[in-house]
Amino acid sequence: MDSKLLPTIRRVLFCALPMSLFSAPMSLLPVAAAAQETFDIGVSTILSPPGSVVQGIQARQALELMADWTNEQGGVLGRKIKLVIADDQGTTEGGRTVAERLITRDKVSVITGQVSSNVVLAALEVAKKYDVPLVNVNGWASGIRTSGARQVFSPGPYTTRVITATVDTLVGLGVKSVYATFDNTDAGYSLQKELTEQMGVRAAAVDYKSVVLDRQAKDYLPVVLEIQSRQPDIVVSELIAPAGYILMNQLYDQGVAPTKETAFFEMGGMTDNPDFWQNIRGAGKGTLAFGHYHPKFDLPGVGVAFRDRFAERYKAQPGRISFQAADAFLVIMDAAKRANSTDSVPLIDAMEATDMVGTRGRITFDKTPGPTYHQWVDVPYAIYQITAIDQKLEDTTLLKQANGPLDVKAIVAP
Amino acid sequence: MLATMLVSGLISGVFYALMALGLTMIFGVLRIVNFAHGEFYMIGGFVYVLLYYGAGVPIWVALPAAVVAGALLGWIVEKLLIRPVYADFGSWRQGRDEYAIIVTFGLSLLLVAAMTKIVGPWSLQGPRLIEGRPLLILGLRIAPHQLAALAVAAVFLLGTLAMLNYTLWGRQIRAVAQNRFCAAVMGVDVAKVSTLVFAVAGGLAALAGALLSNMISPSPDVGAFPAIKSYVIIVLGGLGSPLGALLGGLMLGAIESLGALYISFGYRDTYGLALLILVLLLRPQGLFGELRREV
Repeated sequence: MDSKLLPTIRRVLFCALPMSLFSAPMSLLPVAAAAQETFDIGVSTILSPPGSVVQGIQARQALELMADWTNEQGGVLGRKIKLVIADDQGTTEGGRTVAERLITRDKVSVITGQVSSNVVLAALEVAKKYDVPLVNVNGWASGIRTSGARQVFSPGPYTTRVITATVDTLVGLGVKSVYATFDNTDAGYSLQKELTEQMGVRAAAVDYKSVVLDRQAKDYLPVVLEIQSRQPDIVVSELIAPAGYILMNQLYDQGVAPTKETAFFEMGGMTDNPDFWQNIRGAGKGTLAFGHYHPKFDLPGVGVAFRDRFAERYKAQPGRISFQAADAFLVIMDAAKRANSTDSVPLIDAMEATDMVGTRGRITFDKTPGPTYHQWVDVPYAIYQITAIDQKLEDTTLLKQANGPLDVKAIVAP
Repeated sequence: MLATMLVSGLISGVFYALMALGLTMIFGVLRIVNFAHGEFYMIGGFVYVLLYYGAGVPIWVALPAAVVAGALLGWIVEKLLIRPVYADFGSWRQGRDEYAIIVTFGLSLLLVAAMTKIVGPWSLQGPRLIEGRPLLILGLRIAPHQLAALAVAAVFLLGTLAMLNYTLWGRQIRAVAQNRFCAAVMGVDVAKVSTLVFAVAGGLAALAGALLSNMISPSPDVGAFPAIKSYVIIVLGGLGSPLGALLGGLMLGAIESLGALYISFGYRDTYGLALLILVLLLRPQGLFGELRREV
């Protein structure tokens, strides 16, 4: 080192050290005070692979928007909302580690943001251990509800609802043969089990076959060829992106589905992903889709306001995951207000008595043990058909809303 | 159905081989496993897609540009990160393998994170090389763009093998692969050969990424899957054997397809691994590898 620099460095250190010793405790004071004034909400979601980052980003965007919106109105109980966001990568290990860290290190009193079942299943064990509420955004698997964890509340989709809607649709379409594909996730196995059971009871005469596929695979041609050899009336797919995109494209490239002979039903909620049309071209046209949001829904005032704010801020329409995350946030706010507390246990007690209007309707949580425990049972859904390439969600044909009839006549053959 | 599945498997095998050939060349010359090989594939896919959709570059310009990008990345990586592996190979006694593993694994994570930051986590489906009505070949509907991709891959595969066997550069690569020290003594510029091999491997992987971008939409993490296949292939075919990589790739593709047909699709990826275990038990050097003894 240049010896001329040494005296300068010494001088800087001589001045800086006492200053930093003096200023450090001073600077900590406002931070400590500020920490007391915020309501810290832990957000565990997918921000990097291998999980579905598309879903994680949608959840994060919605939660950030809701937090800013709430803070503009003064926060809750006089406290500003602070989101502590962490990446769980959609993995079981990530879900458990992030939940543990958010609760023990970041001292959050509630966690939300999870968009995959395996993550929720992992995090709920941590939530149970510390008695901290977990508001599940998009974990479908029945195991989340049947675990009986009193700390977990689900204002999003659940397996039984999805499968009931799917079987309603299949029965309504009058199909004689079905080939269903699922991914090898907790949600995938759970959905396969329930669909098989419900088909056996409600559509026993239908020739039904199902298969679980590896979501990490990049080539589904063997199974596409098997479907081709069976020529079912409809192919049902639960695979989420990007695996779902590959399967759809290969089915289309092989001329299997969607065609006049074989319809394609996408029940994984993939068709409103922001990158759907970047990855699906002709394969999208004619697709029948299941979703938990459709722009033709009659939204309550808060839903309309959320949709408009989202569109203004992100220059894109919100998808179902965004609505689900917004509802999770509203459930937390509502509970905090009624409990007059942001502590974990009062929040859990208050959430059990939830009866509020969310972005898509009136939310309450079932208390019956089983597959609907702490679940918003009447979570809305829609069945719609994509009739053109690059079609916006609002332009798709709405075939059915929850509790409404399936408009089979509106279906257009590809 | 058997013929259809065989055709499908062999098509997959050509692309597997394209990836594995570069990986085995790197191993042959440098005796290291490049854990960032899948990310060369990812970079190729993204360069192709972004040049076409983002910059409006024609397909037949975007494709070679993707190869050049992969080759350039390989060249830079070799110069900056791999050089310490052999820069002083006479005195480098310990930690050589550990260094290579850590640096290539770290590079893999860095490239995935960088691409996620730059492009976002989304998948982007690549454009088709050509348009046209699908052809029916042994029961398999193959679109013209898939055939075109297959043809380009085959040309590059055979071209690389020809380069290795019939050109001066190829002879130098083989010489360094056989004995790095002797090749240096005989006047071969081993540093230049190492850089060339990394550039060729990067270019081949990037080409695979670009050619498959219509069928497997590139996303930042897309490289992990083909990279794992490549590791299986090069061990199966024999580490450092270009012919082994080619035949190993075709074999893996065929076995996966036939296993999926006759056993179960659910275990598709395990058939190759089962074969690998069998080969390692019966012929540890791989199908086309040679037993080595170093003193």
